[in-house]
Amino acid sequence: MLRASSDVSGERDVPHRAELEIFATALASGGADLDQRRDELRAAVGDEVFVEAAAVAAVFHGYVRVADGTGIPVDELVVATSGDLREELGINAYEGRANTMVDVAERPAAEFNPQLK
Amino acid sequence: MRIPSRLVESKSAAWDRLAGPGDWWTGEERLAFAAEARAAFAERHQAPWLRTAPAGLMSKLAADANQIDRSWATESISEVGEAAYVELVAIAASIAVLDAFAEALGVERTPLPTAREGEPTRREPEDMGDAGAYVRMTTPWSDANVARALTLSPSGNALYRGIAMPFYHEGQFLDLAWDRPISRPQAEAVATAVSAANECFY
Repeated sequence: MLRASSDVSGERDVPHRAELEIFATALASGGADLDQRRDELRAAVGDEVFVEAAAVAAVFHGYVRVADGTGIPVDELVVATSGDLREELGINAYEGRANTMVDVAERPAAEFNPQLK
Repeated sequence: MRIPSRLVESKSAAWDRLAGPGDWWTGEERLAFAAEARAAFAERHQAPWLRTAPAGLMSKLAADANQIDRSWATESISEVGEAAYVELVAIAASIAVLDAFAEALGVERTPLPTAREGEPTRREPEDMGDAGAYVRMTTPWSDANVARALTLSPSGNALYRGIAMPFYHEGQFLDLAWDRPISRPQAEAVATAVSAANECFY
């Protein structure tokens, strides 16, 4: 899933972002170092945040299957605001691109969510 | 470590829903599909030729969902029926969440429940339309497409969303600041990493 909300919060420095991403990637990619990454994340953020991070990592294993299994197109908000980012990150090479018209004109995110104004 | 009660309760509710009849499959059939999805999900990181789980519809949904295209989906839907297919997507996705959570925590997976008797409803909701996906879904709609993707199967939708809400946003999807131990940007960093590793375009 292309996460539009990950870069619109205004919080540029996400605490423990590296440990969170490394752990999530190890879980999703079958990294042999998952045990180590789990220990590192727990040590960095504590058990309470770790469990919440594990829950979010887990639920996105479901969301991606719902999206790919049903072939839903990317929402207009994301298509209109992600612009060249998809190309830059290599996301346009994913199989699921075929489900979405990606030539939608770019529009500011605030047009879709007043919180972003 | 302490697991929040909302997560424990959502898992119990999911097991209860899974064990009973759905819209198109009996409880026994749903659990058989869940077992197939579970076996494939556990082997998702292995090369296909090294897997022991049987190849088939549930394996594809559980282990290789990013390889699904319209042609495969159309063929699968022609075999089992459109709404019945959606119910299977919901089962595969639900198993993926709960088993990934066990992997993330480093604990054993919970055994599947025992099936309850009963007949599927065999009913489709009335407000279904074409949203450009492989399957019909609720129309019109003003929320994210992923939130309506499973609506053709009310029981599948209830099964999956009963897990997804407490595991992800707890009804705070549109809020950019969360009053929770994990911040919204932290949650989205995790979500992005998982989505990228799964090569999910959506």
